[in-house]
Amino acid sequence: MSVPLSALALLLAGAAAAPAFADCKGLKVDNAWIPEAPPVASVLAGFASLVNDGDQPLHIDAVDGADFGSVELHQMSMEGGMMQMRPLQGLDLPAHGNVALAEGGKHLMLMNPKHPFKAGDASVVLFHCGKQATAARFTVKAAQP
Amino acid sequence: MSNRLLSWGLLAGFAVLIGIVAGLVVLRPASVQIQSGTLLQQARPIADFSLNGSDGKPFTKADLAGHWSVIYVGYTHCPDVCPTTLAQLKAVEKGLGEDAGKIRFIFLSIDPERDTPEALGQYTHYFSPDFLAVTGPNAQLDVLGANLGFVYAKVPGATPQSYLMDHSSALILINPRAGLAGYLTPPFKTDALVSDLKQLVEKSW
Ligand SMILES: [Cu+2]
Repeated sequence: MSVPLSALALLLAGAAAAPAFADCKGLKVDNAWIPEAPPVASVLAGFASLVNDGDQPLHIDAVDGADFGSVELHQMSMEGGMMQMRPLQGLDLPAHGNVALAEGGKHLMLMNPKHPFKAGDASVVLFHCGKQATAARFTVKAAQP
Repeated sequence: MSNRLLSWGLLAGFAVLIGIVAGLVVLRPASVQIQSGTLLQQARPIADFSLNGSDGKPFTKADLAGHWSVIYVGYTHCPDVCPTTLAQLKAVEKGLGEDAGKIRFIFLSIDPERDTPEALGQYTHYFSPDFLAVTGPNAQLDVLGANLGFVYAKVPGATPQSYLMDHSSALILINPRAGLAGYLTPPFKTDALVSDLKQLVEKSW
């Protein structure tokens, strides 16, 4: 009687999907996608728009996912006709700021996929910020030339 | 008698001269203007090299003769720009229609440590079964790089296995006499690449 049904439903749903961590406060992961790659590819790229809705800056210090051996954050650049990638030591999101993971810029390196991915498949990736982590669902889509 | 000989000689001389001039006009690469990059004033010869094709056969300078070639230098542990470029070359191949048969698209991996010819072939043929996949020992890649003007470098990554490769981003144009003809430079536009390559195969050599 004192507990509204909707709250109870939420509680139950929460218990079912019970993550062992709290979300990174304010972090939203939008338009998360993986370009479809050859089935033999041992690395996939992950793109998304990361938004910090909170009043505090956020630092993402690690990313991982059950479908991948490991996940790294990279910066791509084209300098003097050279294509370069460099690992990043985490990502900083200022309060009410955002960071784009996009083609030709920053991306997730989704390394050693445990199975091939086809357009239409999805994979959950975790963004860690200290003791918290936010789960995001990445959808595989055909790459656009 | 000697007069007639002289006029025959003059005529022959003229014929040779006309032939040379015609040859220059036909062969001169500068008569072709491309939008996606630059053509060398004169194609540059390439030294012999020996790489490995994904079909298990050696890939040598002889494989570059008799048709135009477009070489893309990259590696498969490059998930952003490399697959995007290969997908774009697939679109270019489609846009070329019948002319596509006159051009070989070659994905050249500068990461032989991780890209075995077989895996490289499977990766490349996902984009087009007609693309060639080639790699080889670093010593041979270096010889070819010096000849074609591409460079690459291994850069340590977060782990020993996740090292990175810096590499030149231009597409390399090779003419049917296996000479370095020029470069196509990013950002690539499919339509421009198609019209440039059509010009090359139709208007020169
Ligand atoms: Cu990367």
